[in-house]
Amino acid sequence: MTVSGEKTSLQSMNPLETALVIGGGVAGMQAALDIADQGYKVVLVEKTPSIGGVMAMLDKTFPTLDCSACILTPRLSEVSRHPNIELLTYSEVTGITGKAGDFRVKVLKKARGVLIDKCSGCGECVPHCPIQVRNEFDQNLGYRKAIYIGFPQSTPLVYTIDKENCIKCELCVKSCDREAIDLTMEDEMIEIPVGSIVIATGYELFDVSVYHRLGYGRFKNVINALEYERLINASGPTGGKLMRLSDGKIPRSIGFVQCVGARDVQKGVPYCSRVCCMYGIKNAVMAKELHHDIVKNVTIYYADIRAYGKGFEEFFNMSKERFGIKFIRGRVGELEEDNATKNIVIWAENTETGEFLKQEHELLVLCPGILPPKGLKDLAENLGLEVSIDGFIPISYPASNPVDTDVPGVYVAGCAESAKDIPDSVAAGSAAAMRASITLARGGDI
Amino acid sequence: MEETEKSKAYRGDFPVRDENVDNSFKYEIANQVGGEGLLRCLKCGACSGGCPVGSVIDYRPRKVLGNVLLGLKEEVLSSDQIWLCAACFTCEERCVQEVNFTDVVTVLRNFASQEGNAAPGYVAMAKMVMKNGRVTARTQLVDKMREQLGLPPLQDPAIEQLNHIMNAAGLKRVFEAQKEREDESE
Repeated sequence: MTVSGEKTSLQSMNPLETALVIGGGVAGMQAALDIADQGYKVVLVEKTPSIGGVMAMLDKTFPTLDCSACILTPRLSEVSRHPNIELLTYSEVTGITGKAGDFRVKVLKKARGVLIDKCSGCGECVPHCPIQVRNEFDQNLGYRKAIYIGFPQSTPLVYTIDKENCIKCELCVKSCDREAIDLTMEDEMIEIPVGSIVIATGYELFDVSVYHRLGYGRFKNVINALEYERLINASGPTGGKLMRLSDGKIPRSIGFVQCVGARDVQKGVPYCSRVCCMYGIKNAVMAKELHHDIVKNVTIYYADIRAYGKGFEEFFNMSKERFGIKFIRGRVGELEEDNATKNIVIWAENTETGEFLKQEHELLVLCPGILPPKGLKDLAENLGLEVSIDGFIPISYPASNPVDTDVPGVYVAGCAESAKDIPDSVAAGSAAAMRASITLARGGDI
Repeated sequence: MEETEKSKAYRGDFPVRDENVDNSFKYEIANQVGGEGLLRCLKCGACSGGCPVGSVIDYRPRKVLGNVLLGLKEEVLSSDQIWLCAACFTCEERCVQEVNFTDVVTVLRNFASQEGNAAPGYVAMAKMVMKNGRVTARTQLVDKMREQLGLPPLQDPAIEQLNHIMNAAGLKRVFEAQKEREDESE
């Protein structure tokens, strides 16, 4: 076992003592920690500059309303400090060959322009950078510089230079006392031998602008749920103040539209995304919780409420009884924007009464479903796997092998397999970690 | 806590009794060309929510589908609800289950017509076609306008062949059924 801080060469790792985890979200982190705690080495590859995944963007978790960052950030530190985990952020897996016990993984380390060993994350460079662009981490609602960290708890706490927007003025280079910035840095391709692989690439949200009638992108006060999360998050672009985008006012009435890009055969997403009902209810509750004196009307337009998990049904009932959230069963048919007030008028049928509704809301939040991430198909092809018809990684048998793919030595965790909430993703991460370490312990024999 | 919505009784709400339910009705409709999507309906209300007819009068596509799925044959075929659809296809574009409501309602209209329940406007229009070969009568004004616009004069329709085709398609039966129904009510 190496001591923390000691340099290990990734290329010379022993494949029978090393596992690869692709994706540094909550499932991938759990898998990495569980494999590493058994004494094996783990290489954790993450595409973005920081681990944490989508959970790092969330404000609260359902059904307990726990702070998402409070649960996640200790985990981030644990992963980055673990002596057995090699973190490769801002890197992508581009090719995989070999078989269980002896995979060769090609990883593209994108040039981040900053030396990981030298940068202390002090942020001295930031005020000197003249380029300001929208921050992807804040769902493009806030701004960042061309040299940036997405969020304050970014792990590793190392700045990244966005090559696309950098103008190479070298002001940051001059400002850095530790000489950590190297603008000449180039992409690097490395090959790592590993014995088993866990795919935890996560998900992406359905692009709600596909529903032209729901006005996303056309009307300013129609936002998606992840944008809403950033708006209510204390470290978000508004400092936790829920405001609508047209005039910055706190909305007095908010509508939530469920099943946008879920259970829709016509849009190619016939499956239920599982989490939308609960995060929709949670977001509705949070609106009342944050500004109960201003937000008077919160209405959820749903097709069916699927509160299937532990404590979910109770949470759903509490949202009605304690917080007075209104629930209307009916998919939204049409939206209109009021030209003067920029309020949104929704058309829907209350299918419980047959009443046709035209209701005005000051803010409308669309709750999109979950899609497999772009690039998952290519990754699967690299592994010799075929994605299933919905685009996710198929497992060999759900009841007895819930994390095993059809390729021996390759396991899957989190939303790469199907839509999952946080507890299920973490559970799948642990399960995949155990299966991956069994492969290592048996020397590649399954 | 805010007051919850009071449910109101809407037209078309009535107690469903066993003797009114025809279990095979939905399959009858689903077996017709255009009716295939019927059984996929989830009754989510996306069709009603976007319906331009429903936004001004008490008409809910979801209820029509719901009544068919319940098997309320008599209620569906004799009501004027199935004749209110403007065939704008908005619901088909909205539908998450590819139900093709406009096609289903066409099948229902055909069924209703066979039983003498066709909407009077549609029957009048069919009679006009039988008589004139057109949905509107040929007038001197039309002839004059065509002349001014440099269009060739209208040809006389081949009424005999047209009648032959329409009767072969079963229109005669529709008229007969309509007449029987009218006689009954008198």
